[in-house]
Amino acid sequence: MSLNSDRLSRQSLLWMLAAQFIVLLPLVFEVPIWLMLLACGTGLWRWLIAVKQWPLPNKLARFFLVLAVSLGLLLSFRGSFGMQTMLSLLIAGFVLKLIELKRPSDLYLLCYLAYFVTGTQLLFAASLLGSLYGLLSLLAVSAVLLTINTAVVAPSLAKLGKQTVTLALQALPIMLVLFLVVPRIGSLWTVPLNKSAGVSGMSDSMAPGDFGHLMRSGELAFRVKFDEQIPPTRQLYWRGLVFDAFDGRVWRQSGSENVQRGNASPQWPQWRDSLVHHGEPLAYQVLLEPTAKNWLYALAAFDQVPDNARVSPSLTLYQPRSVYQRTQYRVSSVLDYQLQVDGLSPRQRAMNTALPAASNPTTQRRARQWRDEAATEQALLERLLRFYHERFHYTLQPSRLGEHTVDEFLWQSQAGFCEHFAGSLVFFMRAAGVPARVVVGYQGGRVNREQGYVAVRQYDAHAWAEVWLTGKGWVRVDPTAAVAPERIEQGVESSLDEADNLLLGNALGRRFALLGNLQLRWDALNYRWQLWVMGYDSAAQQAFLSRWLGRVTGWQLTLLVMLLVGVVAGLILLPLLLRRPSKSLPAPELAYARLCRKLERVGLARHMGEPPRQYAARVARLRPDLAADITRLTDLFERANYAGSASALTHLQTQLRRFKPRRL
Amino acid sequence: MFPSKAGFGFFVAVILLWLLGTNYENNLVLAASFFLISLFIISIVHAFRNLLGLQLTALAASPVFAGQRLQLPVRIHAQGRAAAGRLILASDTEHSVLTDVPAAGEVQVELSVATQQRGWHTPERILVQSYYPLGLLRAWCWVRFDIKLLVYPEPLPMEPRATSHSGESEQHLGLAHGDDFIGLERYQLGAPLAHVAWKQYARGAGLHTKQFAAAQQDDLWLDYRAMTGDREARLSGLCCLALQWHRSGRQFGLRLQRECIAPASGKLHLTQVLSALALFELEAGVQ
Repeated sequence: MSLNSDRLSRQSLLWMLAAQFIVLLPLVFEVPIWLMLLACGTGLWRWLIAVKQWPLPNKLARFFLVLAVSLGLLLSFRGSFGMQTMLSLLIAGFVLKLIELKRPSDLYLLCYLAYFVTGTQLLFAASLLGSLYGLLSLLAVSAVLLTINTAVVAPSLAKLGKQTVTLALQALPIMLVLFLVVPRIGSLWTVPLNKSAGVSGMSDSMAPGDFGHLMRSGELAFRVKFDEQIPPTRQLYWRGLVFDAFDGRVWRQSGSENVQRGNASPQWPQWRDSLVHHGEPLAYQVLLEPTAKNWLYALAAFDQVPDNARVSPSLTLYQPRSVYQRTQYRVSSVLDYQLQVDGLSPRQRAMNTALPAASNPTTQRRARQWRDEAATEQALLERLLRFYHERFHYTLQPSRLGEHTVDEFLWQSQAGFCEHFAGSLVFFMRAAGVPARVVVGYQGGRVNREQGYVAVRQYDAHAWAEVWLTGKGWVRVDPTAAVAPERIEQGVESSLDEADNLLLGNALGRRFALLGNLQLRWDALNYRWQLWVMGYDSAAQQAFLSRWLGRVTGWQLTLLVMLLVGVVAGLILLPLLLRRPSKSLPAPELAYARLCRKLERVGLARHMGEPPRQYAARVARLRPDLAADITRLTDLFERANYAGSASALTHLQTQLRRFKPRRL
Repeated sequence: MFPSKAGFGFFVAVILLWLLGTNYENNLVLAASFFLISLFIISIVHAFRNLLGLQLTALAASPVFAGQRLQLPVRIHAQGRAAAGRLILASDTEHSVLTDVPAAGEVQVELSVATQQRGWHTPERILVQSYYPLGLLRAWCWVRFDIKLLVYPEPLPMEPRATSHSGESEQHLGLAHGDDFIGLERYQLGAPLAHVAWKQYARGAGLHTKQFAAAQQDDLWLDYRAMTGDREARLSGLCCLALQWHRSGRQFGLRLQRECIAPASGKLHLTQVLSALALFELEAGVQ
């Protein structure tokens, strides 16, 4: 009779492979594809080894596999080290361990690896769905551990599933409390999630076609919850970056404005004086999806900004570190404002009227001509906007533009979208000697009335212009509004025709009311999830704890957690501890229990786990008058119980009825 | 109850996961690590529960010779357990047995128990352990059975001494069975098959055993005093002879210091003889 726990059961192996599949599935696009294929291949191989009784690969084969995988990893990452490299290493370890899997004890290591990989999976996908999937992964891995230790005769899938879910349900309350009370320490060291390539969003420059690309994505950019009334959509210009340098094709930030390099010069309070507010500030909270960039989006002009955020003179809100995790921040803005009414510095004026001399000659010539014909800058601007309104149309599929993009757009194609309109307007105004610049960000957003927030998606990306007018300062001018006012009033899809609409990301959800509605609800749920779960940081924790528990010290908290753990454990054990020896006991044991109870009543209780003979000897010593009876009864019990003698049992039962010990 | 080796590994995994969550300030990863901690805490309760409500009873075992391993049937009775994780019963470090126990009901397993001396043997304490549910914890308890198991002396071949203390010794120990067939007797259960009168049986006369004159008069005797060496050696020698004679289907009797078992043959007789040998002159303490 040997300990056959040393053999890996096929069931455990199958579970392990299934769990591995579940854990790795969402990571398919995060690691090199060959690694995933390798994982599938080795999984299959290991399964065949088990089913067909193939031998495990020998040392040499394993060595070459390790060598090949290491080489592959080296070539794939070329020395860069980030989250994806680490993940790939983990998965490689996972795969290589699989082929030398022999004993159940090897499974433990694999399971722990799987737990960790699940953690990284949660890093990449933190939506509600992603979290639920993460939980599923954890459960699958735990089920593997369970198969190694549960009944030897493999329990059915349903039974195993039930056991796992039971464990999980019992663990959840404890987890919840730990989640709520365990203090958050904060980053110990910075680790970049080199995911920037995968993040769609605005970049720090605007080349032709950039926005058209962005607008095909239905991905969430950020969500905003206003403290009070949500302003009308046409006022929701979510300001991102300001581009004031043009090289003939691409709009960029000039050196002094470059927030990416963190050198947006003077600090907020110093030049705040150049900003004049009219009216009450509007407070709101933004939940920004990861952008891998360091600027934030908010409505101009800011009044209160987060403590760690900075504001550049051209009104860009940015923070020192790039946003790799979903970030929450509070801003208050005044929508009616005047910026730099008092005038621009010569340097600023030069910067905002600069153009490459040779680019778009037609536009440069016309601009000068129009300027001479116009009485004021204002009149010039109005004429240009009228021109847009009368001649242009809005489409997501403009014709391709050649070398002189503005020339071709303004005087030939006359069809395009925000980036074309904003870019051409700024170019034209600059050519006419009026300071102007491009502002990029998002416009509008979908209002979720039920939950009272605005969801802004990538297809809400927008570019507009700012023109500096004497006596007014920087004025927002949106030529897109002149061409397709419904784009600004109702959102991008209402300004496009059928074919264009299909190009917009998530066309389906927007076209069918029911789906759209469902999407809204789902989005609302996700929003709650993000807000409460993902946004539960140490500040929120403090607020929560002081709200429900008042002032508590660490010790009291620890005590509380332990108390709760005790309560949960007690609840699980309670039904067992309450159960008295019942009819389910074998008959001899039942009779013996009766004998013990009788003796207990006269003060001769049997000790916990005391062997019957020893007990009998003790009773006989203490009560010689009972010695004969107890010896006989114990004898009968032993014969009934151990030798299965039926007659002994009958004797025991009848004699027991007559056995009436009296208290001395 | 104590974390197993795998349990410590689990701690390492949890700590790494916590570090990951803390560093990326990702609440979900932290939640995952808290979930694993909670699983661990819950599995303490379940591990305890897997052993709770178990009743182990040692049943009668068939005797073995000293030095051999005894197969001890153990009945495991369970009541009111919710889960049914596997149990590992170990009588010593090398010998353990894996078994499932239903949530309620019973199961019987055979434990291999080492024996050293003849006489009444009380098995060492038995280790009952379980790694249920996740293998992170080892829950165990020791069980001592209040049972006496009979162990026969170890059979060691030994030639009886040529001269014996008693006058009849030559007859006792000589190859003293004649070939003189004296008649048939009705077959009795346990009679050696070698003596069955197969011819008569084939004729349909029923089972009979042939009776030989010498066997009748001159039975074989196992005589304690005829053996050499110390007590244990003598008993071992007698044990060996008894087995030999039983195998060749002879009738034999046993003479110890005071006890005496009349010559007979058959399995029951052998059991009697061996038991007498096993229990001969046992000090009170051995019991």
